[in-house]
Amino acid sequence: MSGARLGTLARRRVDGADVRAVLDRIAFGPVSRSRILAGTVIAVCLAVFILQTISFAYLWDTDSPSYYIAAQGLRRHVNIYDDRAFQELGAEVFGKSVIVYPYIYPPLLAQIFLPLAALPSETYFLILYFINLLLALYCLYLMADVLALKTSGSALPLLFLFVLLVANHPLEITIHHGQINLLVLAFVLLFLKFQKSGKAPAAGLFLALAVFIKIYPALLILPALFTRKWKSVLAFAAASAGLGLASLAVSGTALWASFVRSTIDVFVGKPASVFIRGFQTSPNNLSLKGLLVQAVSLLRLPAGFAPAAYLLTAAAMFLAMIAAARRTGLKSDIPLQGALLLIATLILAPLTWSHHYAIMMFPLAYAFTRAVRERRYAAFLPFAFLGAIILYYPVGGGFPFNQARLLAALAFFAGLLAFARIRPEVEHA
Amino acid sequence: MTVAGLVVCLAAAAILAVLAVPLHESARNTAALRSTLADIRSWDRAFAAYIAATGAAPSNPKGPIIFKKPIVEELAPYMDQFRTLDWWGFNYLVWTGPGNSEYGIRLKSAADYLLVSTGKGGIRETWAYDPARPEAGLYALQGAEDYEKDIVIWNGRLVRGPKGAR
Repeated sequence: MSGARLGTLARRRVDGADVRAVLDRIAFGPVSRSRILAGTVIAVCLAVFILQTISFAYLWDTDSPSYYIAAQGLRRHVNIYDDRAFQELGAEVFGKSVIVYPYIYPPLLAQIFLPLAALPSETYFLILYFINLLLALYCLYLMADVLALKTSGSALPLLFLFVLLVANHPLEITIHHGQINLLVLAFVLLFLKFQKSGKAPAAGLFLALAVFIKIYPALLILPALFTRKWKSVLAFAAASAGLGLASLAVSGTALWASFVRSTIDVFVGKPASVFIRGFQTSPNNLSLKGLLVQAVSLLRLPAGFAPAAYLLTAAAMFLAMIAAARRTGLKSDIPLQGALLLIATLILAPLTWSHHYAIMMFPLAYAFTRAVRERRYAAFLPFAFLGAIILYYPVGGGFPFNQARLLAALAFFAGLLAFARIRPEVEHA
Repeated sequence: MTVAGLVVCLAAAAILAVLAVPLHESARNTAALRSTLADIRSWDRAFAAYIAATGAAPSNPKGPIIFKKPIVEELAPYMDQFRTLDWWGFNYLVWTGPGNSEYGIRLKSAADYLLVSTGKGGIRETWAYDPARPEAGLYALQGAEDYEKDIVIWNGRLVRGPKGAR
């Protein structure tokens, strides 16, 4: 480029409309509509994702052995909530060198794993790896469906989903650990999909399935309660009762009683297991409870501070959601309700590890889709910044730096509430 | 705003970001050191209470504190909260009882113990305790390399670590 042309370009005035025009051209112009380009980006993302994770088929880590041992425990009538008995079984199956994390999930998950536990452990790890790969892709499909990407008029939100598949450290760890976050996310997305289409029985069943694997997705029924969608509430209650009774019939009441006791211990009491006590106070516990417990011990705050601050924060989050629902389109925006409450599960669960943040894919995809659909590109900038912290901020560092992901998630929640103040130009529901 | 102005603004933002990264890293390390020192004091108090109750330190001849070891169960009643990892993500190390010799310190009685964090790098130093100059292991924090140094407590006394930490 000649000096004269460069000078002219440098002096040219730019304003918001110019930037918006460029972004509009990218989002809705021929580039975005190019199927060849979109297909290439998707193919590259898929290839990178497989290359990123293929070694985890053999180099498995902490969580998948726990599910295997839990299912083995059910076969051998071991109380899988008794940490000592569980560790002894773990040492018998894998040897003492493998650390088997305690099983803190409802019995139904171990029951789901029963067929897989009949396989040799190496085959089991391989199958779990492929299940997680397929679930990751299925979650993308479900997100595209729930966010109605077909009608967004731009291919960018779909491409963004595939970028989230590869630029997502929590997802990578989820697959490395053989975690079941993706199964829970898939059930939650199926719940949102059927809620949107008014199919209450199917929605209730899928939410109940999510809750019987991890308890905290139960928060997602709250909007139905507040908007008095009794059909949805009843369907969820009926499905939960059915699943609970079926699980009880298979495992017996003693196991469920142990599970309930250990869960209450984790949440409000002093857990009997040193392992769980260590979990709660670990620098890597990125939950509100983890942050408060660490603050109490490191800043020498009164012991009553943590429960009080926890309850106040939880109440503030729900009150803010209720206030937003009264004034805006949040009441009818089921994907936004889902995005907000998924973040709430991360914040309010007593134990949240960095891999749990993989479910932030959905809130991020929501924010991006909404920004593109409504051409409010600048509105996505804070979400992009917070998303980068949530997906990539290094684990560790001293207090409170170790809690950067949690603090970013809290800010993301507040940001989505700000989004909720604006009625969507295209209603999702 | 002109295109030239926009480019200048972006460049200024990039320079500020580049300057902020080392400041942020330094703050993270300082916080990790502070949190690790608080933890190590908590382990130390538990050791003192356990020794007062039983007359000996819990047995842990091999170093890393991990959840499967009996030492964790033994000290748990004396601690409200405990972390087996320091704030850089490495296991705390503990040696107890006669026969162990680390950092030039020979443990003689059943109540003797050494508590260690290996600092930011997670690799043990070659530093050795000098009985003639017991304070020689304490250092002033001057640069990033000081966070790599070990923190060592011997029978309740900080013999390696930042000056003024206890």
